Amino acid sequence: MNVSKDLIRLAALGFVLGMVIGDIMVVAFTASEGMSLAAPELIDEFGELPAIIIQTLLSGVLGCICFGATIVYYKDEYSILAATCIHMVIAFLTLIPISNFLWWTGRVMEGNIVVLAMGICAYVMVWFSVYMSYRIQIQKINEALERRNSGKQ
Amino acid sequence: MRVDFIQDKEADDISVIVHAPSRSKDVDELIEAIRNYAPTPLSGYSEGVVTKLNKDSIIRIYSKDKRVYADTSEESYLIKSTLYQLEADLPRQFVRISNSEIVNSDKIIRLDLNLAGTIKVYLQGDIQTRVSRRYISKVKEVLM
Repeated sequence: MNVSKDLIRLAALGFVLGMVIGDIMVVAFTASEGMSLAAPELIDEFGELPAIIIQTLLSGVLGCICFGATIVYYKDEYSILAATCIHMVIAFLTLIPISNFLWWTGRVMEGNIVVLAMGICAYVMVWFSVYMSYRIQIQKINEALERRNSGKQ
Repeated sequence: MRVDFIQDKEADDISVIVHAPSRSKDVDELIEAIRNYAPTPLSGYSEGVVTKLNKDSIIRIYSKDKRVYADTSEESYLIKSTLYQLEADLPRQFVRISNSEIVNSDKIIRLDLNLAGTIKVYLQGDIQTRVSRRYISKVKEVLM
């Protein structure tokens, strides 16, 4: 595996997806208050167009780092748990300052706690689904081994 | 059983086609034997003595400190070849499980996954070693 090539590919894909997902989520979250392409507080701070550009670019940066960091899952020296924890730390270190800057958390402690709690839940689900996918594969291999070994006897 | 030879000067490699009225256990065994045929014997070095290794007796082949070793149930031998070359030359029963190790699938007892997500393989001869997640699909392919 060419790690640097894969890292660039993942980061580029993450940047594009991050921009799209970030904007869609803000539109969805502000839908009840008349729909906006950026948090109203960010628009008050920078004006509408700069706020939208800043938010789109920072969402891209967030996606770029989070997607790029998935490279840890390809590193065999890390277990699934270790890779998930490393990715979680990298993602939180990026997500918390960006989401505060963009007013996603309302720049209050409660907002940060909600983001952290949701993030931890998401990572538990990621770890569990990756773990289960390997567990199922290993179970199938062990069943095949049992069939094979009993056939030899 | 009839065995024919057809010369084909344009062929890149040796290929074998088995003709039979239907697929049977005998046909499958013959195909498996042909697949497992390895023309070059493997030489193992131990205490200055060279031994021709029976491939079926090899449990695993691994690299350590830039050297390649083959473990059998009796002894560990130094192999003067790279894992990459061996992977290409060894019969299909040998499967790569990590960057530094190839195992004989006939010697695998079972695999185990712990909560952290580390995969271990238990081999005959009381040997246990780690399987890279990247190679698990290859193990599955050989065994299933």
